[in-house]
Amino acid sequence: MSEPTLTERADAADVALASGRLSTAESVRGDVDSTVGVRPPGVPLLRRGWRQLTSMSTALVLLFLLALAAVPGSLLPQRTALNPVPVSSYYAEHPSLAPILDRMGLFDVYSSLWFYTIYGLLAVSLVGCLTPRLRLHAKAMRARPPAPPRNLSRLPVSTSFTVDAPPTEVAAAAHRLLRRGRWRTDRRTADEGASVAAEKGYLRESGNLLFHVALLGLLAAVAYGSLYSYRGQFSVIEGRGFTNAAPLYDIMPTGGQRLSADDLVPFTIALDDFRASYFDNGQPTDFHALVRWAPRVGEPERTRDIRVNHPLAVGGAKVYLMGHGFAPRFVVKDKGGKVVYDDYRIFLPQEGTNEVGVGVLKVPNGVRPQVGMEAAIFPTLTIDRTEGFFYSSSPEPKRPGLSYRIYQGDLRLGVSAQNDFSLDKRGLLPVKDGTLLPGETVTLDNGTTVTFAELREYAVFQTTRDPGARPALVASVCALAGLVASLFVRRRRVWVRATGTGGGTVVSVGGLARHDPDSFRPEFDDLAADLRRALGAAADRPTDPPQQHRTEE
Amino acid sequence: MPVDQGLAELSDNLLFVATLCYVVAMLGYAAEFAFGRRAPRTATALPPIAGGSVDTLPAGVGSGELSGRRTSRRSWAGGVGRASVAVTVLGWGLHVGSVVTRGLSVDRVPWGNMYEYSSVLALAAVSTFLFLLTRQPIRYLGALVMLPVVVQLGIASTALYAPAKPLIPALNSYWLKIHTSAAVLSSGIFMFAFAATVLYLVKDRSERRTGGSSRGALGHLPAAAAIDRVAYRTTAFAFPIWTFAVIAGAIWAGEAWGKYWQWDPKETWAFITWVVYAGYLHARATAGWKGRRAAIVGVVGFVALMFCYYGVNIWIPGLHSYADI
Ligand code: HEM
Repeated sequence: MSEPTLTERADAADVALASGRLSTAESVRGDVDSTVGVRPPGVPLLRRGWRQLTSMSTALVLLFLLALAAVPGSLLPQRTALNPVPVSSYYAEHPSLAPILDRMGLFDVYSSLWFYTIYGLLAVSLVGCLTPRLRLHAKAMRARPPAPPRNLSRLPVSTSFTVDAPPTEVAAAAHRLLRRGRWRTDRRTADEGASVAAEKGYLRESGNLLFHVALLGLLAAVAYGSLYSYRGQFSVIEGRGFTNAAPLYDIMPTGGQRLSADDLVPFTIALDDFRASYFDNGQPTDFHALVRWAPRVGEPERTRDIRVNHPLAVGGAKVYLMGHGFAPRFVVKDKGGKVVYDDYRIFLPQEGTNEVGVGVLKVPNGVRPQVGMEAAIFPTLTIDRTEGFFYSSSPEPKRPGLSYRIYQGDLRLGVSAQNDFSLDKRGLLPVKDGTLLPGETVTLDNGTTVTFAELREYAVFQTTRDPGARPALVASVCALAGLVASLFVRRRRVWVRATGTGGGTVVSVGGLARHDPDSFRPEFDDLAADLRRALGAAADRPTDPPQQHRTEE
Repeated sequence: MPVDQGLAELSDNLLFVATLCYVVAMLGYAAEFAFGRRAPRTATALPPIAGGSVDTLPAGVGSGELSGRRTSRRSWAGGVGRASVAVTVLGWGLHVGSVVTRGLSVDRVPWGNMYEYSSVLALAAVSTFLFLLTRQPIRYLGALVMLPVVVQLGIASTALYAPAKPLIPALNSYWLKIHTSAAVLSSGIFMFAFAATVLYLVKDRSERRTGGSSRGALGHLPAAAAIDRVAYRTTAFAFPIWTFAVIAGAIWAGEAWGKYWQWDPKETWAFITWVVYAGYLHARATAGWKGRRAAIVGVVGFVALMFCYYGVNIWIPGLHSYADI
């Protein structure tokens, strides 16, 4: 990590000069450092505000605010989750507190105004900070490595020796050597000799800039996704199909403000078979939904096995397997034997019960009075003789059975609010209960019969489309790459100066490491030794032992 | 798939013995720290020449020639220190054995529930310590590294203990394995960095008070700046791994739930942890923040990390079926 001062002693001003611009961060780092050129007269306040906003310490404070702002969302129920029930139950439990929290946006933290404000300020701060840095860095990449300081022996690491070759030849050899080591080099000649300046590790700053730019990209991708994404849930019973259209969903697609019905990808999907496998202890091992699907109605169908963690991708949307359950088929006939009802009912699995599902049947037409039924389906119906209750001894449909209670009367459909999974019993009377195995029929007093005709499984799928996901992934990967470069690439400078004297050419070599000076020392020594060897210098008489000064890491 | 009970039991026993080793080593390191002799004066007065190097700074026990009595005390304490390293290595070997047998017993990666995860996290922290010890004299960090490791393992084997079991389908994913491996590795390194950060703060305070040369046991330690560098380097090493873990987690969430990020409590706290550690790295380059303030940010980062793990799994129910204690 670079830190601002390289030198602590005033007499090293030369070195300070040589180390200038090792990082463009320098010019934007301090809180009061100027970020961009000259200050135009007239708007000092704005200017100061802008500079404050784009300073590193403001970025830091905003980062902490962002972290802090995210906390309440993890402690309170959020509406952003697919399941809105927790918020309403929080309302029920804390009737006086909940409205206040709600007004503060605490049930929608991640889409609340104040969260967006922090996030927006960070984005602005990033843009303001990055623009001048990008410009400076672009310039630095094109600039020549800086001229050697007057006295190379003042540098943190240095050495010198004498050779017979003339200065220009020394410079040429040094140039070749450094090039081979992938240094950026610059050769200069002067009256008294020649010099080579070399620099390495620009990638560090490039990486740092890439990291920060990618963060901006990530913010943009997330924002874009939140405008154009959607998500919804639907169930398909074995042997049946589904067409992607809003009214057919169990949980309607919810998504960004910019979403219209036309945005739904028009695929069709049919479930041929659902298979669940379990360990002996009832713990599931895997779920398979074998489907036929087509990207749009009328196109040829393909088959696919959708599993947990293995979604089906259809035209920008993805279809996930989210759950499953049992759907018994009921046939209801009037006393004349005419079929008045024949359909599957989706039963909702109850947690921790070996997949026992509960559901209802409503038969409003064709029989008088209307018939309602509450039932539970047991995949492996087992009766506890001592206690006299039913349970399922396995989640697999080895011996399915239905326990039911039938009602007659008024279903109050269209009168009271009710869903597919509950009965409004205010107008109903219980008339019969018991158990049914597949194929069995129960006959009511007025001759109406109810048959548990068959048992199938159904699968619950979730469709999502998030056009921001891929850009977000690309941005994240760029950020990671930039981060690695920024943290691990090391910046170094080396100068070689050859000066002709009466007794031969004095070659002095000096180096400066901005990061990790410890590992630079051996690197530098190797380099100097290579140079010496390349010049055929007798390795015997270094005029100066390698010197080491304190450097900041 | 059945569980191999014999192997699972062996794993539990190995972990128990490994924990004992760590406890013994921790006490040893602490004894060396408390009774070891003062580092040579140059230890703290060294900076002008070799301040940039951690390697040139003596560890808890340096070499030096002092009175006979002190020398014998030094060698006594130094011997305890070296023995502690040996015991740590032994514990580490047993610990590796425990993790491997656990994995074999259920035929999957051995970090599928909190018990296993805690164990592997502690293993990562110890591994970081031992690895760095081969390159730098950082034995002085031993006690502070072993403390959270032992606490972690203690909690794992008691409150979080879970018998060996296969994974439920949602957790049985390629990306999840990558995600948890990266998360557990970076957490272990962060844990090591945390110990160094705390020690830096303590040493820094004492240096401030005494104007540079701390007395007493703290005088055995290298300069605060050198400890800070160890803390920084390990944090900077762990941070990209954590970043990768978060990205891999998001990819997994995308594959499993159809939404790569939905602010469930686990994700939220992973994000908070990331932001705070980013703040630490950022702070170290910000005027007015480097040094003590940055280190405090680093400590907060570790607290967030621990909450992300313990707090979220235990107190906050979420989508992560991980809370399978
Ligand atoms: C989204 C918010 C931000 C995050 C998460 C973030 C994170 C980081 C991280 C992790 C580093 C350390 C990596 C390294 O050493 O290269 C860093 C360095 C840096 N950041 Fe940021 N940053 C953010 C915003 C900003 C802003 C707004 C500025 C400008 C004011 C800024 C300027 C810098 C600079 C100059 C460095 C390099 C320090 C150096 O090593 O010389 N960052 N940032």
